[in-house]
Amino acid sequence: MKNPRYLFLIVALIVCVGASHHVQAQTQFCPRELLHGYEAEYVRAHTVLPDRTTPRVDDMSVFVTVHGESLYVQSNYAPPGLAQPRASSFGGGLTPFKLATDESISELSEVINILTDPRYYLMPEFRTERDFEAKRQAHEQEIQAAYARGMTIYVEERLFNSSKWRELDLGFASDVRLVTSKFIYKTILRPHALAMVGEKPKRLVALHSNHVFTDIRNTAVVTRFNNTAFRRNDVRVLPLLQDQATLERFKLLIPSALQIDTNHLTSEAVINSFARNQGKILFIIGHIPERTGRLVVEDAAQGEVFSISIKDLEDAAKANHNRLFIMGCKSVTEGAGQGTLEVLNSVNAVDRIYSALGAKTYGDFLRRISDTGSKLNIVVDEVLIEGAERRISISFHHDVIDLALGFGLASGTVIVYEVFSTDDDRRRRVKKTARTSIRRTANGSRGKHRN
Amino acid sequence: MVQEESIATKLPRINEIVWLLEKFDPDTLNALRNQYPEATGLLTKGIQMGGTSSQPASAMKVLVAAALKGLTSGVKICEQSIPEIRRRLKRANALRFASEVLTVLAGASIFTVLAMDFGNIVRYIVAFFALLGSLVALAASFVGGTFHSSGGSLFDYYKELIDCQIDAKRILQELEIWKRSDLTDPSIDAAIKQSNEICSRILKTANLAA
Repeated sequence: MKNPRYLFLIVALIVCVGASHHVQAQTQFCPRELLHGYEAEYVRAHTVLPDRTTPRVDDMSVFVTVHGESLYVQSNYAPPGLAQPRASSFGGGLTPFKLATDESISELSEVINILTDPRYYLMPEFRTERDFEAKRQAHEQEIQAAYARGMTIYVEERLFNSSKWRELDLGFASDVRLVTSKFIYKTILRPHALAMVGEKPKRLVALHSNHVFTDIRNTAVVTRFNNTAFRRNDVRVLPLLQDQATLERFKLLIPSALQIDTNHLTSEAVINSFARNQGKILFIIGHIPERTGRLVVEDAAQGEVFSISIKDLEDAAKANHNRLFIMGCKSVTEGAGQGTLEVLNSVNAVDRIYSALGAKTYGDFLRRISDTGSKLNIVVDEVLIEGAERRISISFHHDVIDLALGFGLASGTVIVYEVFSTDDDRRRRVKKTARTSIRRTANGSRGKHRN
Repeated sequence: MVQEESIATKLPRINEIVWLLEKFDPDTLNALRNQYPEATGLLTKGIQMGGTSSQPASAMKVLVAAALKGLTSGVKICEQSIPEIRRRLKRANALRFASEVLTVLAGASIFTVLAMDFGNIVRYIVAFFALLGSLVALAASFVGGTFHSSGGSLFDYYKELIDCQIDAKRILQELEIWKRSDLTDPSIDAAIKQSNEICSRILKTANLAA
């Protein structure tokens, strides 16, 4: 068939007929009022998408959700010259472009490209054989550009509950908004902007700065990262592997005071090391076989020496107020609270930690972790800075105590002090120190103290 | 460029082989990387800490080639280290013998007799022999010692390197035969894992015995 005009007519007829029947493993799309079986999705899309239609791809909005095993995508795009415009009962404009597919498509931009492909809508200006391919390619480029700038993507939370579609790559979409049953979260998003991680419980994280993901509902934490000073003495590093290149790099780059002894390691010794390093950021570098949720130490012949579950590590970290960060492949997907979303080389992991030790703030620290050598998507949460923020609070009050002490002793008045901290153990320690200090200094003077 | 067909099976690890080559024979490692540019990921130091990634169809070929090169370098390291360690052991033995002779001399009854006639001079000589004996014993343990006091004796490393050399030569012969096959036999995996383990032992021993 030489004339593509007839080919496209036939394709359009086929897909329109297909749209009225639910057929397995295929894509259904048609600018008709409804896709059979997707009425509920159509209604939900209307509650989110703008009422007006738009002929501009950089102004269009797209709603993405799942229905069973199918991906459902709807937009408010209505190109000029659409072959058969029909009035919509929703909003009164043109019928929205929509598509449902249960085929394997990995990228959302590809789906949107198919959704808006002029071949399937037979616009008159595309009907000349010579110009058609060039115009179609121009349209594709226009869509790609709009996807990165201008297009708004609304993603329903249920997409991330679908085992088939949860890893749909949102690519370089510039404006992705999460739609839950209660709110629409606007996020500042770049590649791999949203990621649903872990089998159970599921977490929804969003990118807030360069390759650093945090819980999507906790956007304020990023500012706190940038405003909290980082001290490298807060870090401890434990390589749970026997690779000699990594261990040599570890011994060469990481200051010995920050190293956790790697000799004679067992799972009990690992847990015990948590208690010796209370309140520290613990980096554990280790191998996590896919879908095991365990760190496995293997010898050179790949025989298992010992293994420890990520859950046990997380529990021990919680009990000892450690700020655990697991540097293994996709550690967050495997159940870690803080860690990586991607595969990672062990030597590179050491290099990242070494680079991060030179940071001034926690924001800088995270940038260095995620951007040394190559880009690495990491997930962190506010536990990372909890200890650091508390330390600042205690130091401040300690200074106040010293000032009050000096002033009180000089004037011979009664000193009353109180230390504010959320950490009871440390509060007791600071109180005790302050009291001892008062007694020692007040000895021989007329100053009195009262708790 | 035609993309090679990729495989996603779990491959045996060659991290220690790569590290041995990078440390002791970097030219060979670079030559391997140039020969198999599609498999540079396999020839990177360290380990990929989980996950799966598709590997080029030539992966097994690369692993066997790396194992052959690694073991060949390992055998060379053994051949260089073993005579050196033997020399040090011989020196330590000679010193130990000298120290024992000096200790025996210091305690010999002849000096007690001589001391009756020559007094202080003999007492000085005896004390000097005793001191020299202790110093030479110390020198013997230094020469026969290892990089770290907790690392065991030099003789243990001597024995270990000889074992490694024998094992490496055996696996080399095995791999030379497998190399000519279609590389589908599961025994090749075991041979590559053993190669990695031997390279690890050589690295540890060579490091500690240095």
